[in-house]
Amino acid sequence: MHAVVKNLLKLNLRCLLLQVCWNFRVFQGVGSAWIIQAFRQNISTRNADNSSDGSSQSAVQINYFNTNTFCAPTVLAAQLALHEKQARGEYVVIGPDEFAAAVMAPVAAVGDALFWGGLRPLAALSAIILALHGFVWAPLAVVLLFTLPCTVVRIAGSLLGYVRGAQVVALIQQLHLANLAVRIKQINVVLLGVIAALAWRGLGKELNLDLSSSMGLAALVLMGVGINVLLLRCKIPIVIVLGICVILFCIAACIVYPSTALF
Amino acid sequence: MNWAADLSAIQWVFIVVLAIISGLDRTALAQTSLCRPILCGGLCGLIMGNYAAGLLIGAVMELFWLMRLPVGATVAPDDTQATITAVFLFCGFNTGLHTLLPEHLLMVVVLFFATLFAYLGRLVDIGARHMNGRIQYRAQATLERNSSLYAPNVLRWANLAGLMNFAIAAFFSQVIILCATLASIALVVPLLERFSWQFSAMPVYAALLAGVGAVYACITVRYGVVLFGAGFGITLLVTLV
Repeated sequence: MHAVVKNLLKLNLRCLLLQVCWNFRVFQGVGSAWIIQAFRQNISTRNADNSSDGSSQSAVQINYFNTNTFCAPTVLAAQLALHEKQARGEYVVIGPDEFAAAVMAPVAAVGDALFWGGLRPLAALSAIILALHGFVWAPLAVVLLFTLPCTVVRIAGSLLGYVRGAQVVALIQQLHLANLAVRIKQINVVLLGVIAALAWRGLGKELNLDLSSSMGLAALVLMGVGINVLLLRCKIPIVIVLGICVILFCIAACIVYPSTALF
Repeated sequence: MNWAADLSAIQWVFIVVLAIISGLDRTALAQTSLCRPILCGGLCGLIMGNYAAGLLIGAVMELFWLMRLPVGATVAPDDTQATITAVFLFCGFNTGLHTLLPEHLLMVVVLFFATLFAYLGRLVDIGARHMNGRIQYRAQATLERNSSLYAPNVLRWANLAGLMNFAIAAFFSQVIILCATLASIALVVPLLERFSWQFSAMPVYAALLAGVGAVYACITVRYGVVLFGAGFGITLLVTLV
């Protein structure tokens, strides 16, 4: 038991360095080979000690490996569990390397949608809303809503991967993480609306507008966001959109509110 | 051009360390979110003595690049170094009475150029990844040449080389973006100084709305317009009430 905990701790710490030699040939291959190879070497050394056949070792291959960084401990721990089973001579449904090759893409798809597409924007948008409200500790929202859950997923995932082996894939499937990602994305859109409204409030204060003028400004803000979205969906770079937005917004405000000294 | 901030040696060291550590956090190390503009912008502002400005620049930059996801072989523009550059230059040129341009104009100018040159950082990042490809090739060749070598050691050295590679790339990315942004500011400031600007915070809010548009454009969910409208409407009502 103690050895298992030590191994999983080691695996989790090494997974923090999974992408340290990321390249276009094997992606995270060097990192994953380093993580797994150390354990594999230990297992084969133990086996060599037990059986004295002294079979020759083949050269280590650095294979392509690419999955979501936060789900990688799950995949690698399951791979490690399969290695150990195989070394003990137990029956395994799928070989460790074949397992990793088979599951890395689907796990990456789920993980990327959830963590990069859902959770990271949620954390960032929450932090921005807090920052616009003047909370000094706003960036901590990113740590609480993104870094912390990711760390929990890394640790819990490695534990589940090690205990369940190849069956961990079924568990990931049962969790319906893709649906969760969609829900989080919907919350993100609501938060975007909140940020746009906070910008409207800030502008209203800046221009000292009364209620009726504020409503006109709200329409201007929504129109501005709409135009930005259209331009960006036409693949126009953000830097050009930024320039256009700043210039147009200032001109529009001058036309709509000529009484306000903008420049 | 008047550089108004008087930075101590410790501040310089902190800035360089922040640039390298947060650069590593983007891909190579841990992905703890230190590389996100809102975090590294705030930290850079703290080091430079203007936390609020760092946080605001970080918030706007965060929106610009939030949906550029590090998925597969996609390499996003270097928003981390661009944010540190923007905060560093803004705080450096905007100190009390010695400000280079009116505060909000300066903020938009540094935001614009740092955003523009973030793409140069992306090229440096891509270069570092190609270098890592060579490291991997050599490691593989070593392992094949001499199978008696302890494989984890060879791989550990390959990883260490990759780490150094990414650290150097982060540093160079910062230097390139900083130099390019500084040169651009030096070019445009004489033009902007000809006008007598009495700028309000309006352009900064416009930049924020451009950021909102950038995020919304990349999210495709059902009833997106309704959800956005709900968020906007509820906040509007709460503000008015």
